[in-house]
Amino acid sequence: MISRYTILLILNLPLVFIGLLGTLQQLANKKVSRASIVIKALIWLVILFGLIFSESIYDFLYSNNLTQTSSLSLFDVVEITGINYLLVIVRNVSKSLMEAQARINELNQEASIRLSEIEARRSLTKD
Amino acid sequence: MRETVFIVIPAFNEATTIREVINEVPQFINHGKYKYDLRVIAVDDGSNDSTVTQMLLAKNRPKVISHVINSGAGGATRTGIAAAVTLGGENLAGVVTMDADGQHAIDDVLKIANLVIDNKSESKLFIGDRLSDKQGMTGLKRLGNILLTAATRIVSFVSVRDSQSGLRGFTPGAARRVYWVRNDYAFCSEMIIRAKAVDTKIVDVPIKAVYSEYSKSKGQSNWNGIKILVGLVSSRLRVWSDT
Repeated sequence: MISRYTILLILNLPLVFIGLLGTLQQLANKKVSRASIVIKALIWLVILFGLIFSESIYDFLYSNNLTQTSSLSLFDVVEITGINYLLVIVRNVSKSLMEAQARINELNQEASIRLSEIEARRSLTKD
Repeated sequence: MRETVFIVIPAFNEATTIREVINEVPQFINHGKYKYDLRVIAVDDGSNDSTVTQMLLAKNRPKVISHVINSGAGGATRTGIAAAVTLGGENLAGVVTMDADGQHAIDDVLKIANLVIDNKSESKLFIGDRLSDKQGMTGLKRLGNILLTAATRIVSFVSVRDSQSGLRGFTPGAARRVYWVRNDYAFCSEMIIRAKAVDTKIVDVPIKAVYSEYSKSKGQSNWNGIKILVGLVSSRLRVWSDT
């Protein structure tokens, strides 16, 4: 039977790969600094290793009396995965909203400046 | 055509003071080594009083821009600076932003304009420091500003004395390079974070804090202070993610 920690790893692995791929894409686009990419990649790798070794980490903590909590139940696995996917959805929606807001800002700015120029020309013609 | 420093005045429902504030700005400076034109760009952020009419009635014929959509002080300031960069072209010697409620003394505005002229070949952002004036600001306002400035310092790693001051001077390089995305009052702090990210030097300039009953009534509420703090952290994360 597959361990619940393996299920947790399998279910969350796509998120980690998407995150790592996104970071590599930023590196290819050269839009962000190398330091920022290294930090982001490190964060994703820490998450990846945390997932891979979650069972070993739990066993180590439990055997050394550093935690008293019981191991993951199937419900915990589903709950953690659900929260992770929700966080990704929230992040993507927030990113889209920010992009839309930035676009509206640009349009508002551009339209206001152009309208003021038209107004100025119109009043010059009247004079 | 002479070099021009643009004075950007963003305004929202400031019909009471805007005309007088614009009229205080001289049209040119011819004093010692300083010889340049000043041009006011008044940005109305969708006011629902007679702010635009008052702007148009000002005697020194400002360039009036009316926002199609009300966006906030950050958006209006950004529009004003974008217009200054376009209008100024090769003759752009700098941009100074000031508040529309009359809280900035014209001497301080001109002091910052002169500093912008003196440093026009560099990318510098001058920020009027009202906290150096012990008299003008009320105790509560002072405390609020000190707290927000401390938060800005922690988040931006920039030693700035008055992070929320509306009186700011941009050299041409800074006007073209420093950009911000927030439309609300948190733009003041975001501007500082982004200025540092594009290697623009930030310089504090002591100014007087002139508070009339009117400008006191237009100040930031405590709730706005909390929104600015949240915006500050969000800006820091966004700048970190963008760069």
